[in-house]
Amino acid sequence: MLKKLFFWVITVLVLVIIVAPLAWIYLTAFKGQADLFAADLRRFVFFKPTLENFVVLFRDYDFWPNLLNTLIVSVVGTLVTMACSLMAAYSFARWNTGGGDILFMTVSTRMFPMAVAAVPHFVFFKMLGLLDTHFGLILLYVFFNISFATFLLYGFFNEVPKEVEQAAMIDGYGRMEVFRKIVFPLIGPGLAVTSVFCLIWMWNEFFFAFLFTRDDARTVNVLLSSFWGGLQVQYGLMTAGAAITILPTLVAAWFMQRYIIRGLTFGAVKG
Amino acid sequence: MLSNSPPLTGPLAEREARKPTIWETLTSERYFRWTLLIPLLVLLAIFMLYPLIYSIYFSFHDWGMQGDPTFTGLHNYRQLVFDENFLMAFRRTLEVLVICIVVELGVGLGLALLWNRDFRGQNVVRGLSLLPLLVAPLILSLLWNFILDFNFGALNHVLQAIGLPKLNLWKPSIALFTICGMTIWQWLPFSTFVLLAGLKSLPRDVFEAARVDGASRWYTFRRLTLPMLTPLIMIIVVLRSMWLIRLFDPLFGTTRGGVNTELLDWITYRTSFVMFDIGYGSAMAIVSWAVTMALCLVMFRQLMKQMAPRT
Amino acid sequence: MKLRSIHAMWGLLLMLGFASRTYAQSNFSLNDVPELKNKRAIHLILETGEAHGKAIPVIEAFTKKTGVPVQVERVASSGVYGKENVELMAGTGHYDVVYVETSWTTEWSDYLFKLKDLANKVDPGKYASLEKDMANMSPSILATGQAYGNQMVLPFYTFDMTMWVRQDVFDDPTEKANFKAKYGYELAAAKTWDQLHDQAAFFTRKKGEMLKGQPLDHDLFGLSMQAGAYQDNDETTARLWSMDADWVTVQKDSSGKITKFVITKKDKEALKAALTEYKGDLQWDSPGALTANFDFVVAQIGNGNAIIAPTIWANCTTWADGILKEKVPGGKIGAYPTPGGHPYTGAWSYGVAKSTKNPEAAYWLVRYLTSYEAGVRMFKEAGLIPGRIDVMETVAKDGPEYPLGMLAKYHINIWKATGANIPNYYYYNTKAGGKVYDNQIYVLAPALTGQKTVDEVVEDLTKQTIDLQNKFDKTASCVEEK
Repeated sequence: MLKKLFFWVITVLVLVIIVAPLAWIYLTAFKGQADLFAADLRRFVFFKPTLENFVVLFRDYDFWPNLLNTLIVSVVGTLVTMACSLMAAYSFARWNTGGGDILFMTVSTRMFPMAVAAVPHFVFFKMLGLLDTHFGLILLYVFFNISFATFLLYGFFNEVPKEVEQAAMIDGYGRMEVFRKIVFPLIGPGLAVTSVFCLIWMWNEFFFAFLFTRDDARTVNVLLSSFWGGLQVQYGLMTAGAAITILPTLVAAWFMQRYIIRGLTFGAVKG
Repeated sequence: MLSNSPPLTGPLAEREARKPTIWETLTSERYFRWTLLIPLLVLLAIFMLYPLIYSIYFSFHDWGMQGDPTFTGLHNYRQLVFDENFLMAFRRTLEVLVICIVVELGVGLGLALLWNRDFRGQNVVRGLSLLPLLVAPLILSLLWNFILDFNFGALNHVLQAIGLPKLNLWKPSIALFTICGMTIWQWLPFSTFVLLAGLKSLPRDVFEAARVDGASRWYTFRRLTLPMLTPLIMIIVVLRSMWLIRLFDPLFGTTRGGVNTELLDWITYRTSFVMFDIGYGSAMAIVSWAVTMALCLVMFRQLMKQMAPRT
Repeated sequence: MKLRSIHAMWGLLLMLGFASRTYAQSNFSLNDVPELKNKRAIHLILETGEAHGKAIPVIEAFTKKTGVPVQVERVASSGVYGKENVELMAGTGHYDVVYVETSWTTEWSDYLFKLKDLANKVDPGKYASLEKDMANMSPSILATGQAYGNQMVLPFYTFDMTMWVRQDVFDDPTEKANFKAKYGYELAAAKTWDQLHDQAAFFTRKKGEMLKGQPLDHDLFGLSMQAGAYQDNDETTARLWSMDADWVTVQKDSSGKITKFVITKKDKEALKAALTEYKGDLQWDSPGALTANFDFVVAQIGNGNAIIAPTIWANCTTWADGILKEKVPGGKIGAYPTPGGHPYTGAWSYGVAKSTKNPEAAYWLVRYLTSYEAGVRMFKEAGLIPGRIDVMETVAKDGPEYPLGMLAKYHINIWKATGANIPNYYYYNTKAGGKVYDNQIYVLAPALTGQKTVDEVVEDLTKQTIDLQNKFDKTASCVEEK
């Protein structure tokens, strides 16, 4: 009995710490200007809710076009990333191509400070006319995520025993068929996990979106950050936007949640 | 042997006879592994080599993006060695690294052990605990700034309501811990879930045997669970280390490097992107990249040793 | 007798002449913009925030009249430099109209049109017509937007510093009496830093003590400052300039050309004194001041938590007043020169990029955004203070008296009082302006938090300023006076 109490006390405490700031986002999104800086706690929780922030957000700002941009860039970016890293990870897992060094180089791409990489990338993109385009941003995002995705998928491929593939090959299946029919389904959960993480990263990226887009390909995070404004921080608008922006990732994560647990074994621990 | 088998005929013979096509070469046993790597290598070449070479080049020059760069040889690097701000930022980054990883692993493992059972509402609990990972780090930092504000922040409102004194979490002596707290809050679900998944796939039979043999819980944990989880723990350490050394977002909306919280990526950003001192900033980038590489290489090799025997 | 009366007559005429010299209202309006043949869209940055949103109708009116579409990009003020600098330096030519903080003017002077040249090229009235309009702008503000004597940008809104005092508290008889009894002189807006200390100490009170005859239900602070890693250098500038010193002394020869940049002994001593004074002031401020930006000061004053804000942006006044009206019945703000009388000044301005593909439209948009018409609108609707004397005079005359009329009068006076010094200040003469400015923010902070001593910080700053100045500005060398 005591153990059960202990369990629930800890669990609830953890959940409160996790959920509270996010609850704050949703509360603030519905607050009017006057209530934002309220100095007492009662006013904090019991206030007159208003849709004012959302109305202004939709009417005066390009919220939906920006959200669409985020959607396009994230989804396409994830697909492309998965395609590239799937192939590469398989190569590393099956044959240890490059003896681990290329894999390390891939992983190390995220070790270079982003701010410094921005300038050469900017100049390069300008030369190619890729500034403020969906294609340009997608390309950049794919590069940034390919290390993470390849590394994760490498782990998942390791989980599939070589014998299964060899057996299939002896039965006369070609390499590609083995890959499609046998290996692919087995790493399903792993694929799901990796895609979700990629999607979330791209959905939430800010720095490069800020620099490399202006109007056409502007993503919703750049818009939200712009409410951190010169003479006034518009918390109402920012939380209203954040409240909506979080939802798609929430949905994606919820669906993947089952897979995430199953899939995160990395094959390091055999069942 | 060949002389005993019947002569090859038909399409197979034709294929063996003429020179292989490009597609065939690419998908042949020897080269297929490299073919698979082509998109990756192309991306790496364009996006990694170019900035690297660019930065190395400019680290030997002085350049503010206007006019021509002036060659200064090793001057930037020499300056870096004596740059107090850079060294302080470096030290702080290492502090953040150690603190966050220890806490994330410790608490993460604790939570994973706690939740490694079937309980009512487990889907809800697990789903909710994923939330911190879903919000954009930048937006979070802007919002945390407000929540933790001394006079107007929700945290102090709550503390005051229950009669506790207000907290100033941005004092120079503890601001760095506040930053750690922010990133731990966001990434704790990561280690928790990875470890939970690991725990769930531990072989039942070994634990059954241990229990039958009368092993204590502590013994089971220390001698069985922990060693089997080690590869996972290493992966968490490698990935999180990489990201923590580059920690940037929490600072952006809160201290912006003030009150004793300037980290490696912040001073690099400031130098390259706020002051546009490209030469010096590039030198900083090269140095911090090299250090990160060295650190991660060691951990990476360890990890590979654990995982390679698979194939 | 005759001579005397002639003199008297001349005297009278002269006096009449001065009296009738109000600034002839510039009659530039949208109708004066000629037909623009090049309809290519132009791009510019507009700051984020509700107040700046009031400029959108102004821009839309421009598009309606000229048929030139204008793409507006909203960027937070802290991000403007990085974004525009990268685009300018990489030569993308994306921004036709460039949003410039005046301390960057000299730095970007190679990338912007000299307005005189541009006017002569595209304005039917040539430079004379631009000059006529500029005569109605504040000379001191215009000076901040010049590079080597050439006007590069026109002011959109100024960020002069001011000192806020709770006027209702300063006028309260109880407080006045108590103050006089304790300090021996009348309670009035501080003119010196010592007076400010007295007032700050006087007004720092604990919960339960009295203010204006009523007990306080919260702690009260005498001061509210922006001592965080955002504006700490500007607050120091106000102190430095009031001591008749600067970050770096600019030496020019008789023709006005810069010969040398020197960090004189006087400059260093003044900086030490300024930082010591600044640090000392923090004892009368909330602990949150060390991470504060201007929004914190606005909230402090607006919620009645502090009485004096010695170095705050004048264009935040309507914002703070809005909060004050709601939170503190009877609360009123008074705007005065910062102690010492030399507040930090400058303006967010607009200029035209050399790489623009539609210089005419860009020029006329800049003219319209900085015109009398637009200025009155921005001031009255958004509380953003344009750099135009004619707007100030109109509002001072027509009101509303509080707070806009008060602000208008403040600016007219402060521009007159400080105009002469501006062309000699370091910020407006250096190509390393942006870099030195940003570096200062970080180097000064440890002095305020106590992590480093003032002397150490001054040494650091001297070394780094010389380094940056010599690295990025080859006009003249920068040295320290030994």
